[in-house]
Amino acid sequence: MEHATSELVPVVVSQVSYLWLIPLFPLIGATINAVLGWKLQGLFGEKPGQKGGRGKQLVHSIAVTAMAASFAVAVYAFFQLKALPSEDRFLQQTLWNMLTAGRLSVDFAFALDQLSMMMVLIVTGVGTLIHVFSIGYMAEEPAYWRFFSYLNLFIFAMLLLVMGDNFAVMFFGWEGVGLASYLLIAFWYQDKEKAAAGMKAFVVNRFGDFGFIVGLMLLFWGLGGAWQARPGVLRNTSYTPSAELNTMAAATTAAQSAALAPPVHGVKVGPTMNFRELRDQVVIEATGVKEHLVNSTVWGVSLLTLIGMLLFVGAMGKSAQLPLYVWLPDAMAGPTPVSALIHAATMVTAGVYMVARLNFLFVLSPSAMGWVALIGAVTAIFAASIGFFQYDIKKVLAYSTVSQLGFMFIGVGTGAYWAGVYHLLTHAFFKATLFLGSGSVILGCHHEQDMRKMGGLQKYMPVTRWTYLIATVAIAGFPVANGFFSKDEILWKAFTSHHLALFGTPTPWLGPAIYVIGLIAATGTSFYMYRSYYMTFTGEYRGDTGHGDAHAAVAHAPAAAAKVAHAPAAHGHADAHAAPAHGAHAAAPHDEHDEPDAHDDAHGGHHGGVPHESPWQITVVLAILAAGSVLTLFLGIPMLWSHVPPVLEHWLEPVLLAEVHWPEMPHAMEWLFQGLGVLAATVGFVAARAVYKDNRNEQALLAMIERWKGVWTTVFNKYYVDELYAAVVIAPFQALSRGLSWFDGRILDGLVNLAGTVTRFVASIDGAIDRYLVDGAVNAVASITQGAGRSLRHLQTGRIQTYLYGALGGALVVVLVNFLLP
Amino acid sequence: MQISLSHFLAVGALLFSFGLVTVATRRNAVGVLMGVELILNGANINFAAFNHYVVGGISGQIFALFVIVLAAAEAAVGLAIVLAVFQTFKTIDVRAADLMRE
Repeated sequence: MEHATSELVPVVVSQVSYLWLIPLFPLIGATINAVLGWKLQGLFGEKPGQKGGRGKQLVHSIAVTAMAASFAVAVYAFFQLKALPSEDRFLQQTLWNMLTAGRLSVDFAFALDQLSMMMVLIVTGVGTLIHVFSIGYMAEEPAYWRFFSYLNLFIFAMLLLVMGDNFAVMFFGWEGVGLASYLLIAFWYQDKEKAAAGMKAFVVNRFGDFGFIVGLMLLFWGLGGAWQARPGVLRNTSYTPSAELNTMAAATTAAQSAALAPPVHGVKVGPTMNFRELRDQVVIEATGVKEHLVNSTVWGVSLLTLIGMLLFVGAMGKSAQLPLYVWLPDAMAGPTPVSALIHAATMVTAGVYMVARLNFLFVLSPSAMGWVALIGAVTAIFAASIGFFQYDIKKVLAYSTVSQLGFMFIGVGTGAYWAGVYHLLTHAFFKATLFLGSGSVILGCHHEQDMRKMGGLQKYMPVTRWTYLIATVAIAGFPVANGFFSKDEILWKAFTSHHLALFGTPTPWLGPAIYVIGLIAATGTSFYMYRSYYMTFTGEYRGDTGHGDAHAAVAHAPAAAAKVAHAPAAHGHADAHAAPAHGAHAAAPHDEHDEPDAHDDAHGGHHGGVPHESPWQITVVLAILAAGSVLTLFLGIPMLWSHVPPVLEHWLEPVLLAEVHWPEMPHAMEWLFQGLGVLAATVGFVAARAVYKDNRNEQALLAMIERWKGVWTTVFNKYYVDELYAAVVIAPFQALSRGLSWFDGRILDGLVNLAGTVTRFVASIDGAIDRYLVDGAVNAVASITQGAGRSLRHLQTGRIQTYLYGALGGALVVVLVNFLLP
Repeated sequence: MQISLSHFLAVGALLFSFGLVTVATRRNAVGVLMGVELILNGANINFAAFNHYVVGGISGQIFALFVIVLAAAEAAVGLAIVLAVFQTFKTIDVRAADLMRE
């Protein structure tokens, strides 16, 4: 990680024309399935709940083909990138200009460097496998097309996030994955709790996104993007950025915009959204940008620390760190492939990716780094301890994910960027394996998620068992699978880092402290993972073997009646958020997570009562991912063993150029710490084996729980964090909204009603005038006319003789007048 | 007694008056037509009398002949109307034919 700053030069960009294809394929897949999916699925006259017919084949073929095509293009890009000299590996494609204002020019553009290349390969590769897995897992789902459409949409957004050349495109992806996550968590939206979980994820992420966007704006401001000229902005440079930003009319095209900004030492300087331009002007010291940023303060706080913290708030939301992690365990309400893809392998690592991408910025602020690492460490141990006593297999994995994300943030926080990113990669493999394994278990046990109802599954599900075991070994940190290599590197770097700071003052003890926390968390990781393994796969099957009949008759009776509807009444949640007493009973009602597949008689009869191995789409994917969990260890063989830098570190070196000084440590010490890592894993393993293997120590376990009941209840109820949120965040908000509602109901409505009453009074006067005066005059004319008509109509008898009398009378008058008048 | 123009005019006026009263008071349509004949003949007497005593020649008599022919034609048309009235109202009472009031 040692670089001489003087060697740093602007990034050399290779323009290519096919990058847009990578996100395009999933977008097409999502669009086709969203618009035509339900038609395609019903094309061959299938009933909605039917298992894997030809219509469904069509739907998943579209989705999987899109993913495979995307992966193929990514692999092609990888080889092209690899062919370039290592310092110049940067593929870029600009599609169109989105915004030009003064010097600021934002393009819709994609970029691939070593870091985003790795992410793209993970997203498309693991994504493809999980699509295949979903074919088996979701086979009975009526809204099959909707699922695959969402899944493709997620991949599209995730690719925007990692491939975006600038903050704008990244932010599109950032919000897009949030949307896809929301849609998929609330996939079974008829169930109120699942819909609520989706909303929770979305709302909590809003908090994070707010921090993220404020951080971006602050960074933009710090680089000189302000409407008013500020004194002292960017010394050493020859231009005043604010003046040009003010004259929007001065530049409307990219060329004009570029002309406004004379490059300083060959680098574009000033406010930018582009990662590459930002990197260039920050890392090349001759531009003076670095000096300016380091010396800037806002209200006495270092600007860079503030930016780093706010960006990390965004990462906290997306990557589920304390205190914004609460949405991730609830996100397990989504289908299991979603948990594996979004809430373990890809989306939740977006925060880690972002911090690693901006490593050159974070490294300038030891305080920001210190906070990132500290929060990561606290999250790691906090979530690990919650994982100890969860009974829902997916909840265990969810807290494990939160904990592992904490490890990644320890890595990127202490400056061991490549190690954090490497843990991201290894975690993508082993956690995807674990989640998909749990999905396979859940499917095999007829949608049972409670580990107390499992046990002995090694007999029924050999493939799932072995892959789960391999992934458990990987996450626990034994040096035969990938997890050891990333976690050990992170912890070692944490121990040796002495440059971290909190509140702007250097705190050399922070690194070792984080190491100790991390080591304890690693022990816990090993413990809860082996616990879940032993509870699930060893001992005797504790589920109801008469499942098919008894279950369908009792718990699933409403579901059987409603078939496609999900019968929310049949849900009893073990994690009952507001019932502490509930947790005190070991035999608490367990989860009845009804997956909305057809829980009818055919289901029970088809499967029989005993668990069964999953279809080939599931086992093949599990095998591939488990193999990946082992094979990716070769990317991170430590220098201590091989005397060459790890493959991945070497690959990422040009991107992760942040300059962190690690003190030289004796080799013996490094060996010792690796030994400590293995020891931690072993301790966890032995403890879990002693307690949970074959379910043989159940009495002792219950006695222990009884003895430490207070602690156990607290941990089992997740330290009452949800209740804390309810009291601290939700309750004040509800009080506020009640107050506002009162204000609205009484004051505002009163004003509105007053205005209404006044208007009505005026209107009634107007009405009276209208009615009596105007209408009276009109009516008078009308009635006079009518009266005249009524009396005159008697003359019109229709009788010829009457008219004759008239004529005679007339003649008589004429004669009389003639005679009488002189 | 010398019969003078005034006598003829008196007879003509009587005939006219009788005809007028007949037309105005008869309810029977045929009676009304007969009243019309009286009026016309009252006029004929005047034609003949004035021609004889005042104008000379025969032009008055010719006019009277025309009026007789005209009266015949009128009677034909009038009776046809009476028939039509009867067909419509099933009566030839002129008071029944008061549809023009509407």
